[in-house]
Amino acid sequence: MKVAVLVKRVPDTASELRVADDGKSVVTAGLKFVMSPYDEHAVELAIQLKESHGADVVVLSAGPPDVREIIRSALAMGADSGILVDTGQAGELTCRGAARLLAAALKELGADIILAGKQAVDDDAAQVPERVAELLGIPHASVITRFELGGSAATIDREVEGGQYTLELPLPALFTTQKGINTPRYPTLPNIMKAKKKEIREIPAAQLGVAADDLLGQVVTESMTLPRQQRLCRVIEGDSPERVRELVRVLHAEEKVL
Amino acid sequence: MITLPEKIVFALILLGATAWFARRIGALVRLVRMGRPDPDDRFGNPVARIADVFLDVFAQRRVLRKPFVGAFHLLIVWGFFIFAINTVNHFAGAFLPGFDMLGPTRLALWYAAVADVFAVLIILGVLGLAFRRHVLRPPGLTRPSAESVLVFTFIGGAMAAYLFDNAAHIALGSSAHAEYHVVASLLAAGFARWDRLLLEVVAHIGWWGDSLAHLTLVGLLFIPTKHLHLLAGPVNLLFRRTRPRGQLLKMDLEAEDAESFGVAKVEDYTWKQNLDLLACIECGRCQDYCPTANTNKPLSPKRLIVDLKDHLLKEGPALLKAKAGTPPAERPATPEMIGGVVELDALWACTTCAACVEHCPMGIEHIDKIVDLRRHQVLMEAQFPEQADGAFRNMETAGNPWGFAPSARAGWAQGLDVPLMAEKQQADVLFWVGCSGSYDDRCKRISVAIVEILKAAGVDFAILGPEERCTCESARRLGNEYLYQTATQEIVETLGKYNFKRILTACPHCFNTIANEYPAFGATYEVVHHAPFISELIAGGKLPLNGNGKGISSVAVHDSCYLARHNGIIDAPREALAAAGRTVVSVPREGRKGFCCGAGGGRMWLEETLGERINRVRAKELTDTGAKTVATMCPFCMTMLVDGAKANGEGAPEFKDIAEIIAAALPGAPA
Repeated sequence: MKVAVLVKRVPDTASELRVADDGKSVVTAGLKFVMSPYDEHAVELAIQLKESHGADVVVLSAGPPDVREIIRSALAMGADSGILVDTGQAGELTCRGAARLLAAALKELGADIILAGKQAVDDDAAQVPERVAELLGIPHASVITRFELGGSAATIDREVEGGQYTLELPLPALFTTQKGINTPRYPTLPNIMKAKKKEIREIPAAQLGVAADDLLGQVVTESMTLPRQQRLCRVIEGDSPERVRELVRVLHAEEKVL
Repeated sequence: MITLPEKIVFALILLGATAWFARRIGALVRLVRMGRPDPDDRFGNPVARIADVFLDVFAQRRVLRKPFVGAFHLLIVWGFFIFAINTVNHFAGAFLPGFDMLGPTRLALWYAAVADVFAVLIILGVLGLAFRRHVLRPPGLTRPSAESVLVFTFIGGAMAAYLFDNAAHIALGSSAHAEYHVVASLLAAGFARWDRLLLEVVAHIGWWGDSLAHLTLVGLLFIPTKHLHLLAGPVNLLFRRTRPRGQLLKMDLEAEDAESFGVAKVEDYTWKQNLDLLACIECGRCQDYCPTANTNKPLSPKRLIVDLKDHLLKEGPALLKAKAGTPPAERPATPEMIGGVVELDALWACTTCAACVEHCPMGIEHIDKIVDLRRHQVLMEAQFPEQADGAFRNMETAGNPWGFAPSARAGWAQGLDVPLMAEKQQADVLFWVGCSGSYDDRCKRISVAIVEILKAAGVDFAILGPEERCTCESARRLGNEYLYQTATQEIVETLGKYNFKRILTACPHCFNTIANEYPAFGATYEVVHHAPFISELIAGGKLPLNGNGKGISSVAVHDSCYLARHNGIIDAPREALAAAGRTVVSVPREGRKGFCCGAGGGRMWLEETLGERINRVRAKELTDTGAKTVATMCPFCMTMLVDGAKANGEGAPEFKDIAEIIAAALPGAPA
């Protein structure tokens, strides 16, 4: 059985982001990168399948060569090998582009189970895994909090507003993991050392037959701004009728929410 | 004198006992040597080592740190050495009548008198210690203790038998120099009306009692009981560690042949660690100032060592049988110690404050044993308290334990005109701020105070700012050696870019690790913590203090373990406070006998759910001194004590770092 895990490199959530001078991108110099936290749950699930069912775990990521480090940390957790879909320094992939590249690589790989985090914490798009499933023509279930393997199908719970679905999907299928499904393990020293020697296969994006248009194309970033910082709390004083009047005025005239 | 049949019986007993002793010694030596090679320096500077052992054995240096019990122990020790000649005479005399090592000299006569007096002093010593254990009942001692009853009985018994033997001979008129046996002759006076036959019987019982008590005492060494300390103790002290107390040994993480890292099973300990276990006398001094043993937590350093010793003695023989050349697969399976011999909660409770190491008279290295066990749990099993996971990940990715933005590290210095090393490239003093001083709101004020002091003294300094990162000292003490080494390499690289004479740290943990642990990574710096640094500035007349008290009438000093016990820095902060016109009041537990705040050894990042809270106990003790201000020197202590005092409620003193107190005494400081 082969389990593929899609991981994405994102800026560490503690990083202080700065918008570049062009007003359209984030300054990446000096940023610390980590594996998107939801992806860690996917890697953990895959390794548990390895431990319980002897699955072969392959970790895939698409992006510039630096993404290798993130694949390496998944290998340190216990994954068997990695595939880097190398996009060179082509700039930020769109969800569509990433999905096409990963789907092409996965087609060749032929995994029984494909896992990914429910969303990446940088763009929060929650699109790539689902697009991959569509491109591969396999079923998918997102935001899962339980995964149970039974023969050629998997039973999962997925979280929805105010409730939960329990679904059974025939394999191969794709699943995206939600927090709470497991606790990602801390890598042990022998695994960190072994990870240094594990194979990370590089596939140049150009070899995958995905049209350049599909990679970048359609979505154009117009501008990027940071959230307003240091909004100061304001205490409106006076007697009640006066305060209510002032509150309504502020909400209407200044904050424009009424 | 004994009869021929008695001589034959005695010779047989002696032969049998000697053969058994030899076997037991051999077995114990093999048990110790079964351990792994010890990576520490255990043999360097032999002259100093031997001199140290002499101080500890003959002058009882460590034992006398507790004067009352120390004095009684001293009587027994000196009595033992003084009696040694008598013991030889006694055993040789069984076969060579009249044998005397000292010969027919005046010295021998005087010696007889001294020996008589010491026989009484030894009995007094034994009674004193028995009184302490069974009547005074100090909490650190094991009760009931069959071993100690045996030892007391046979030491006291041997002495009493010796005196009775001599007294009977004096009464019988068969003693050549009765007048020199000052004590026995007094006893003999009491025997004056006894029947000769009865006196003969007393003499024989005395002789046999003396002989058999001695042999039993030697036997008690090798069973073994804690009595073994009188052999294993001095040997253990001889091989004592010489590296700084605050330095953990660097692990070779790249070791190709390593199957396992840290300690999981008893056979993973080194020979010196095994020797430590056999040397334990179970005096309980390790617990006197232990923050966990004193707050009803599952970790008592004494119990840890005794449990490990029992485990070693239990598993050792089978391991030894299989040791030589046995392939690993065929070696007997010894159990993992964590969870069985050492409780998980005990393992993670240690704050590495070194109260045990400081007060152990046998030089046992408790911290290293605990950290070795933690290392295995973290590096091999990835098993550790949940809260450490977040701290580890944050230290790794954000370079600080909380996960704040690395770029915000110098935020505290905004508007203070604090130069960055990256701008200046060189400075006399590189001010290493630390994570707390950079991000913690309370501790940022300490950083500001240090800057005020540096500026007032005209010190040429700079900080690393965003280039600084967590040393991961606390991760190392939690067992995460990999994270620590990764961080260290990064930091050493950063430091290597700049020119500076000294590193000034605001945190004793940063201080300790950079000063004592970085040399193992090929990076030696002159490092100073701000407390002695301030003291030095004052002594050098560089700080213009107005010394007007500023309303702070009295100050209690809370010692940081990593300054006081690990690095011997005790007087400097007190001198600085005195120079600033403050009255330093004493705290019940201070200096080398200080009491930890509960945050060391990585405990800063863990929940404290068992027993009483260490910080509350300590905060109360400090509050009870009546001092208006408590001076701290460590950001962790500050956080812990402020929290502890808050939880205790009203009446707490204010907690100020020593830098803040001194900065407030600078001219121009707001009153």
